[in-house]
Amino acid sequence: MTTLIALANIGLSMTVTVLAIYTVRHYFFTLNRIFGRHRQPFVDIIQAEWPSLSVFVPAHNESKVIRDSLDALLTCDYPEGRLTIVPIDDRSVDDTRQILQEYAESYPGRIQPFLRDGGIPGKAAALAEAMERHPDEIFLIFDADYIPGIRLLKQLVAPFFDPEVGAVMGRVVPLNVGTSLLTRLLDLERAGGYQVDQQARMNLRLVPQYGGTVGGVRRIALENVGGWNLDALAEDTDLTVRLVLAGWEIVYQNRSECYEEVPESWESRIRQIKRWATGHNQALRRYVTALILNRGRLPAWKVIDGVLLLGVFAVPLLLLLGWTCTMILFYTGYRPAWGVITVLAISSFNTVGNFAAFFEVAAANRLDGSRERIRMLPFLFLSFLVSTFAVGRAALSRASWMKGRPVEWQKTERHRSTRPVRGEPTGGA
Amino acid sequence: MESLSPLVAFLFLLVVMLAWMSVPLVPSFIELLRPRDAKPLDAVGTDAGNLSYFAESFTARCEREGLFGSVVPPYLEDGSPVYAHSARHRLPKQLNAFTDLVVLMDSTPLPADATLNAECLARLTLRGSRGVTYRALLGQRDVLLGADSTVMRWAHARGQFKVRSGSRLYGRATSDHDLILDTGVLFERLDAHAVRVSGAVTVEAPKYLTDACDVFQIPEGAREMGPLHWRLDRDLQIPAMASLLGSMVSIGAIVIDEGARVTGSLKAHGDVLVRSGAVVGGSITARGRITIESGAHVAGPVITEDCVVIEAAVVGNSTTRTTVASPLIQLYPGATIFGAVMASEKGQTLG
Repeated sequence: MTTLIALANIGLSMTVTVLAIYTVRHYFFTLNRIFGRHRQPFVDIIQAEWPSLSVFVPAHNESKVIRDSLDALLTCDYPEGRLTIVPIDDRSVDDTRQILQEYAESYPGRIQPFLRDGGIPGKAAALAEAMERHPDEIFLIFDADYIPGIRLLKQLVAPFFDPEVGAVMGRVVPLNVGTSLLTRLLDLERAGGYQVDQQARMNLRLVPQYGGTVGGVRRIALENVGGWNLDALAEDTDLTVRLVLAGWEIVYQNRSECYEEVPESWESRIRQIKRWATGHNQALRRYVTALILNRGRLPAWKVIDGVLLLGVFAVPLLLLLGWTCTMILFYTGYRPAWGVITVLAISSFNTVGNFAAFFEVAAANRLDGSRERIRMLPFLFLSFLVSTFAVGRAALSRASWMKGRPVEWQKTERHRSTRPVRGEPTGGA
Repeated sequence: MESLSPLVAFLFLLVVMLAWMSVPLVPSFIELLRPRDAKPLDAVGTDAGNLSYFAESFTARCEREGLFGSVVPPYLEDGSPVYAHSARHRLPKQLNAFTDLVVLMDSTPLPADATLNAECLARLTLRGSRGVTYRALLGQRDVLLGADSTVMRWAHARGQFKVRSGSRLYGRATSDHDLILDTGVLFERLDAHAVRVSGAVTVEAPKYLTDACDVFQIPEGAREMGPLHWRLDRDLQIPAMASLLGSMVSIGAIVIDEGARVTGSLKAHGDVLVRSGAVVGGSITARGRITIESGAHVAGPVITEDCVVIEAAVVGNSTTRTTVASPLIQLYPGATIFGAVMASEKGQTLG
């Protein structure tokens, strides 16, 4: 019994410590965004000899949305002779391939589709094969439902004038905000994630994450770290960590915004989160040791942030451990050694710690200049409950922690039925 | 109260508690049922990345309103008055800052210390007097701002744009040709074929071939990140008349000595000093100060998070424009930048 109580105490202490670290991190990032210096050294690069660029649009059954994406890319102001748009069709069974062929005929040379019928399925494998055929200096990647603005390509390429930059990430902005409660909550979450979390990491020279879309990578950096990992469940997180370990910098550009379609159904959202969580946990398993050993001689803060970034989807497992330990201690009649301090600590965490993420989202909306949408904040409890459930299930799955190879496309369901008019959104930014 | 059963009391308390807990959700439900802020963020700005955007919009408006014709209409479509200024017509003393528009019909100088709170179209060459304040200015030909002038939002010249000493250019100043600044001018964002600081002759870097230099030996310990791309965990000095073939990232400071050549780009976590006669074919990025001495040449963007100092040197070239971006920018006589100069905090020309 004594051993059990001791183990439960250790488990609980560990859980509390990790949760406290994440809480401090949330507050630190939020306060940095409110009071700190906004770091965006490349956003003013408007004139330059722009490098050769390939824009890849991986697609698997994307006939509902791919036209909008290609139309938007065609109107971008990147010099024509330096830009190749490469939509990748990987075994679509809908009209995606016909649409791409139609665009290739209409825009010969500018749009060069890459059509796949064999090989390993999935985004990473498709990108790896397509990139072999395009020896341009910079590769940008957009998911098929993304609608870039006219100047976005130049904005995303600008950081690559810094020879230390290996990858760049722009900001994702939901387009279908008003569709449902879920889309409104996702809009809030996205704001918190990008406006505060990513930008604070950029400000503090930590590890902004390359997110796999609305971003890109320098060709020689990709080659330097061994190309795409074909068995990575989250090829973006996987690449982020490998680039950081190899000494490349990742730049987040808050003003390089691009519209996306967020999931409109809870089933779709749960699948999306489980996919992210599984991929993140796989990257945690693969790279946490390398990060901690720090063979890349990274600054200590970068290492700590890297570990916390990778561990974020493993937190529900720790929560489960904490709850179990708490129940063991309660039912064994264990009385905490410092009763009053423990009660105060728990009360403090309940009043401050639990709301760290809410504070972050509220600050993000304030920074965005949104006025009314912050009223939806209490509903985020619902979203967090669903996320915790989904992430917890993913964290307990075999794919998170065992070796394996993805054998299918994992994509989010599309809902768009009508084509949006460019420039239509008018919310406060 | 004595007759209240425990169950009823419990239910009563439960209802009160739930009602109390739901108070914070009332605004949420109102916003959910009657959305007032459910549109996507206006994310993709049309004016970002194009400094002459406002000038283009204003030009289109002037065309629409017939302000380029031989006769200027007295009112705009929305009923706002148009004020014409010429040798025969003087401007009224006070203008509405948001609706009234000023057309300068000829090159008659504006009165000294005048304040134009309206957008201003100069149809011919503009010769501004001392101390004039412009809210926004479009010059269809050359523009010459007199000493101690101020531009509050933007100014654009279709021809050459000259700015006399003591002037302050808030916002954007752009030209389709050259933008020539005297010393003692404060600025924020400039874009022109060439931005020059007058008062000294720009020294051109000698145009000898890279082959004429000794090939710079990559320092021991430098990590190869890719073909012709290295990272060095200490300071870097490229000796005079040596040639670095490729790009280099230094964790410390970088000094490029007189006459040295770099074919790629450079990045320093510390300061960068480009000495006289040195040439960098790519970009320079630094976390610290970048100093480009007289006679040096940098072809690509110059980017820092601290300060850029450019003496009588050249950045960019006449066929390929580029950008200098930094919180603080100091330009000395003879500095020539082909392209944009973006000072997010303070730009100034110094004597």
